[in-house]
Amino acid sequence: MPKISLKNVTKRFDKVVALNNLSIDIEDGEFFVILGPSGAGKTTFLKVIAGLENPESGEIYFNGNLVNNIVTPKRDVALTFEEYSLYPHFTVFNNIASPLKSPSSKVKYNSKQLKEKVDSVAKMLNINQLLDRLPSELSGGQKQRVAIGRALIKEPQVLLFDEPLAHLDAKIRNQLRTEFHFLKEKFRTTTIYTSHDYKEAISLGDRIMFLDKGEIQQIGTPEEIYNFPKNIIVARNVGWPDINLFDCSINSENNQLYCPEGDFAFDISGSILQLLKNYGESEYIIGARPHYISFSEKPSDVYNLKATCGITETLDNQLIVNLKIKDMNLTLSVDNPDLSLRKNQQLWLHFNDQSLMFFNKKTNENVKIRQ
Amino acid sequence: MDKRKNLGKNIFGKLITYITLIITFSFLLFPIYWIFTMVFKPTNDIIAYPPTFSFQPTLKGILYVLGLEEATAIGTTAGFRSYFLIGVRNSLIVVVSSILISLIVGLPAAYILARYKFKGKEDIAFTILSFRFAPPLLVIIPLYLLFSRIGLYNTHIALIWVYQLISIPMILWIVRGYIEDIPIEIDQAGMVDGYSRIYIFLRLILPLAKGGIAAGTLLAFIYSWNNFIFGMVLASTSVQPVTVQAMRYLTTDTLMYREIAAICIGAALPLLILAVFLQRYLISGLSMGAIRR
Repeated sequence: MPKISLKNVTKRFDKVVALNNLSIDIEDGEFFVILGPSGAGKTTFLKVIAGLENPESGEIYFNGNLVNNIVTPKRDVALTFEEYSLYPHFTVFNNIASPLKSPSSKVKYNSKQLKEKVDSVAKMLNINQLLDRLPSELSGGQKQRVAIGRALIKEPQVLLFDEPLAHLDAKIRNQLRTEFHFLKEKFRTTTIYTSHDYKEAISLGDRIMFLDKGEIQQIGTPEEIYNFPKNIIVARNVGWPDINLFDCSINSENNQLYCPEGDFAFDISGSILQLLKNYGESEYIIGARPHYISFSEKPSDVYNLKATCGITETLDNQLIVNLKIKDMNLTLSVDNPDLSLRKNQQLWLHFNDQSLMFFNKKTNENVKIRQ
Repeated sequence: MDKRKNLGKNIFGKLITYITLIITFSFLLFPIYWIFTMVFKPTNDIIAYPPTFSFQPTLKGILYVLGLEEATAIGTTAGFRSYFLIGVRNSLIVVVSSILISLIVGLPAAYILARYKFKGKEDIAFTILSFRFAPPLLVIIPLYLLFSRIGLYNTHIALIWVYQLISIPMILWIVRGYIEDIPIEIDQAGMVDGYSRIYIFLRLILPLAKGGIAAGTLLAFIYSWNNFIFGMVLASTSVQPVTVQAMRYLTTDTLMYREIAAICIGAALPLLILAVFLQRYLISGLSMGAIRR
């Protein structure tokens, strides 16, 4: 039985639809990441599960039991908020201890047990030396640790994290992301985690749900989301540098694809051609991950597409090359940061047609996925 | 060289600032100064024309007002009674009780108006605010008749009741503004932690809104204390607040300017002290929470 089920859940704020007829099952012990741009409805999704927002229609089940009418304090969930939302007038200790002191706490603790519990959680999160401070005396990363501590100490059925790393410095973000892996292994609690950063999602998620404008675009494993995005919205938001997208049309006489923007054509294998012909459209949008375009500094049979090198930059151990075929811009990346390319240098490209994605020009959906 | 130029500019700018401030303050403070001197003036000097700045100070006015010396001129109501002290006592009873009631009623109302969504919410809030700008004369005659009929005329309870018109809107609107500035996620975090709305209101929201509560209470105190018309119409000497007691010295025979001045200064003194020490709350209250600290 799934731990959490949403059935046809719709939530509106006045005229804005935050969640549009959402149905999803989340399994017990799963680390489920909701990925999407801001305004996608990620926070609303968590608040609906926590009972802080009531959906206009649809049902929410915990372990098969309908919880629509169960108020937040009785739902046995913990939620960390994007802006931490610690109690400003409570010390760190009292912030973390808060769920255990509440009338809804599953176990009643005396003050000694309470101290032990808080100490062990604080030690695990490396904030045990901060217990007497007020939230205003903490850094962003420390505040987030306190918020996580306040959630973990409750040992709830479901943990909800709303963009826990979004407002932290890069260094702290990487540190804390690693710690989430540790927490995931240690607790194995069903967790729903939102993020707008695909790297975080791919790194942490057992499954990822891509949400945009309140609608599910795709649910899948990190590999599926990255390699088989269901449509252009997912393809564009997952992966960095951004995926290259350009129009093409089939020229069936010579088994080539023609790209009007760059005025070039290239060969494709028969199986792909067959796939596109079966699909039935004559024009598609090609999606090419920067990583899957290869190049050579000399022309050959394979490297036969002439391009001009533009600005290059080295980032995260990758060389990112911006180049032009006629007026068409392309980005590609290679794992060789030491390579030196001159501006305006001629490069010869090769598209690996097996790794290309093809999208329906009208519906934006991935042609390969529909098969 | 540049520095000196800047310095000159600064001195010139400062000079203008100070001159403007001095003019403004003398304009605002002169009446208070004049009334203050009146307290110590012999009657002849008070009504002297042209007005005189030099006089032989006397403490008679203060002694009369405090009831330490018999104010013969009052005639029949004369005696060793201190109308000032009776007034202060009445003002304290009425103002403090009415503010306590307004806090008990107004704080939960402010929380609900800030946090809950329900139909007609803004209408309710606005109706309460409208008590503040409706002229009191509009309601005072019906209230007088009503209170006479039910036996509340000339009681502290009647005044406490009517003073709610002053203090509830003050407290409610200022505190509501403060609560709206507290992120709703604080309430939600409390709910996730397992607490009831009442606990959240008492333990999380009230402590965080205490600046607003102080500002609202202070302003409600000032406006209630200064009120004149309700006490004058709905009560007599034994119950009337200090503002109205000044009228005791308006008799058919004489106008006892010195004693009136003494009561005015005595009534304003507590507010002046409050205003000086609690300025920052006063400013944030007057701006309905728009300016903090």
